[in-house]
Amino acid sequence: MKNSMEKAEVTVIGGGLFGLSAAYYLAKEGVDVILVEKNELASGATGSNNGMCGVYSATEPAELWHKIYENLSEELQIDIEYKKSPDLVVYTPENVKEMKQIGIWEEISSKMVIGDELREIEPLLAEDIVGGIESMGYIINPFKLCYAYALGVKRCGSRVNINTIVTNIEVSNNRVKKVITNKGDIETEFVVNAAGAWSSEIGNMVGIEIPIIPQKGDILITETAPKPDPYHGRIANSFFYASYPHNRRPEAVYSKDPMIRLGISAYIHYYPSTNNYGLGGSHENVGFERRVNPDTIYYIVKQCIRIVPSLKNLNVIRMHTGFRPYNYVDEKPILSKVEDIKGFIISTGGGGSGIGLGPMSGKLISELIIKDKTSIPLDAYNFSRFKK
Amino acid sequence: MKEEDTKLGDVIVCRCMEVTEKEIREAIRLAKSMGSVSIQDQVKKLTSAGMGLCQGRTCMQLIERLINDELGIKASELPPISVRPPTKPIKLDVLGEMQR
Repeated sequence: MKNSMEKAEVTVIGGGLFGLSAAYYLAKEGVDVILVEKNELASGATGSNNGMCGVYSATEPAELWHKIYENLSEELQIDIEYKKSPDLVVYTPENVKEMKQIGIWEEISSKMVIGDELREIEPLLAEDIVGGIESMGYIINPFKLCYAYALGVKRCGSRVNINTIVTNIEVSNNRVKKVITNKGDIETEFVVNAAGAWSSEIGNMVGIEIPIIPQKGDILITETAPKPDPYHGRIANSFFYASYPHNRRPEAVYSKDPMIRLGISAYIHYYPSTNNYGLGGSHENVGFERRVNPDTIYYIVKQCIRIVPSLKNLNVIRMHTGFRPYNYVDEKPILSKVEDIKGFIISTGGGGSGIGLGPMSGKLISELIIKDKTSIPLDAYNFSRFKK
Repeated sequence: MKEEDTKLGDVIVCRCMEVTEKEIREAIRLAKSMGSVSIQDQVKKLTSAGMGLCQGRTCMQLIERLINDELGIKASELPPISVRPPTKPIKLDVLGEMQR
């Protein structure tokens, strides 16, 4: 394999959801693709999240991004465990005080379910929780989805090369020419940078700065527990984290308040496929620190038990860390060509909503390369917005 | 021995997550078809085997034997699996009291 030369119309870098979906929708249209992944499939953010299909970082209505999921199991011939997951965002008395201070109480409280009605839809909540807002979310199995896409790519006659590390990208006359890997070179017309939390490293290879950093999140998994009835796939209390964008900036790591420094929010997930809870979440900008942070675990647990006290009797069986590809400038994805480098495409920056955005992002990248026209306008996600 | 020969395909290998021999063999083949190296980790991710209360302490050796049977790779030749904290289950109210 060493020093071999391969050829492909498009080389996709990254075997997570963004890369695999782009490779699949390109290959499906008859484009010859090679996908390279430095590790195993779904070994970054795609493989370390809750499987929730959030779309918080996009500006369009969620349906536009979600719709593609409806027939995906059928199309890919693998059950990706796409299920409804009712969502409940809750507010504590402390949150209410803050909301009144910053003047958003009127607006948010008008949508809230309170009192007896709240206890009826969610009896597990602590007594003093003031209100909640319900919505419908979706959950999938990210590993099944990635393998399903990878098999789809192969069925279409394209290639998936894992354990292949990109070491450089050759550009000449402002056009990408070649992707250099530890297993050989790939002559190519297009490069899709879908390297997630590592995508700024790939950007450096062609001399551009992509404002993506790894945003660390720690999760705890509990032993199995009966499925609650009524059921919420997620009970969330993240007001203090989510409502203040400055708390999420890289500088937050210097805050004296641990809740801000660690980006703590209480996300209480119940996984219907494995019948256990996943507790999160944290948002730390500390590079690729793979160890679970004991401080983070303490604050997550404290906050989750504060919202749902009965959790305290459950055993934790596993904790793990993952890295969201976080755009620290405006928190939106980057789905874009690069003006000065013909053939170089960026598809990353899903942040905490990569699973919701992933499949559609691949479709859009495929449209961008083949037709130069996309079914969702990508102006808001263009790389040129970072030019000073 | 393959499950087709023995009809043992429905035997539970991972008791915690109730994963059968057949499901594990399928995951091994799928991981192999993608060129995977850390096969045990892929089996865990695809089937949830080894991700329950005992965290693979009971079934991982069985899974490694199935990998050997399917692919001829000895357990000693496989990369070590990723091990996560805690080393044994711990109650949430204990973790929530651990102010540092």
